[in-house]
Amino acid sequence: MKITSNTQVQYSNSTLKTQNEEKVTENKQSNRYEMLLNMSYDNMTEAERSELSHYNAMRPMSFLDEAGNEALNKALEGKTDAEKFSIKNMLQLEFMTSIKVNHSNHTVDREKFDSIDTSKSATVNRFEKFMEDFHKNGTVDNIGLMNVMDKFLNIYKASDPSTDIKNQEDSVVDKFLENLYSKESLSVASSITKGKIETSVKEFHQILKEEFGNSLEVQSKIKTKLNEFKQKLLEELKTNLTDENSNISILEKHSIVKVLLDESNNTKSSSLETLSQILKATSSS
Amino acid sequence: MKKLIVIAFMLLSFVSNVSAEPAPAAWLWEVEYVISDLHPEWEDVYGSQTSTVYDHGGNMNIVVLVVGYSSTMVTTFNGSALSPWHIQALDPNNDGTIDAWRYYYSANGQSGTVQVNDFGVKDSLYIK
Repeated sequence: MKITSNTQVQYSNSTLKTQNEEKVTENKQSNRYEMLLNMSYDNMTEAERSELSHYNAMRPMSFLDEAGNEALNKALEGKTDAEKFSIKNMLQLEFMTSIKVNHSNHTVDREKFDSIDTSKSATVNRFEKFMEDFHKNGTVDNIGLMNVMDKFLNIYKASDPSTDIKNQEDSVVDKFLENLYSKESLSVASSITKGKIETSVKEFHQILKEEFGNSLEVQSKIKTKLNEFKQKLLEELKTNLTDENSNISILEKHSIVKVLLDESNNTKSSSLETLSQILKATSSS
Repeated sequence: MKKLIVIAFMLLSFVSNVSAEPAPAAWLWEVEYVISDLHPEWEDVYGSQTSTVYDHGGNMNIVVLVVGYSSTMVTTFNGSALSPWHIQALDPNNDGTIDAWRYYYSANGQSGTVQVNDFGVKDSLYIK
């Protein structure tokens, strides 16, 4: 089949339509779930109670990525909604909290994590360590948890590695942003520039994902492209700074100077040139 | 003499490896977390809290934390004894000694009182 630009447009339209339909269904379900959560349990019908219980049993867990959640739901097939709910709750608590005990002075330090590393390797290690500890310490499992975890690992390990790449892509962008503006420059003034840069990079990341898809080489390609983009972005900032007709505020100019200064510290070869531009710009503002 | 010292050292390290310290007797019993269909986020109820803040209902999970070892602990919900569907041994410093246990219980319904007993009431929580 010869692919013309029209075919591509048609394909994009039908994909968009499907995506929109999926989104509408998702929104409806999410609204329904919200509504049930806000109801009084006494006033619920049996059907509504079962519905709520099913939503809870199928809800995604924050300690897993998309493929992980799919794998866990598959591993839980055959369990009742109440069992699915219990197993997910237990894993969430054990993975998202830690405890330290001091027997001599009778103190307990408890910690709760807002987020944890959901990359494939980290998840596999976490599950394997949990199972190893469980067998070593001989604790009680009356719900078939170990069986579920074993199934989960088999399904998850065999799953498409693209989701792990997605996490890596995100970490590439995060690293890029972190390098772009050093921690010292995160003042109120520089946050104006920071916000602008962040939006631009996120938009660019989206374009890169569409261009490269989820191939295995995506990480290095994205790194190269982001570096090129970073250079362009800095050039634009420099132009803004030196352009007399530019109507950016002094506050913004200062934050741009900060970003450029940080950058010039990282790039020794161009530091003299950058520095002279910065000095020129600040003396004119 | 040198040989004897080496042998003594090896024996000592062998003994310290095989005899991990036993867990001390339980010294803390706490209803630690509650989660339910109506509030599907773990509610932290550790400490002196006597009632949940959120309303709960439907399938419910209750977690009791016991620090130190106990074989006589009994947990009840509205007077009926619960049996754990999972017990998690906690050894946070990986020294081979279990420091604490998390008991996972299931209950169904709405409001009620969870009580942890071990030769007397050790902790009590009202679930709204």
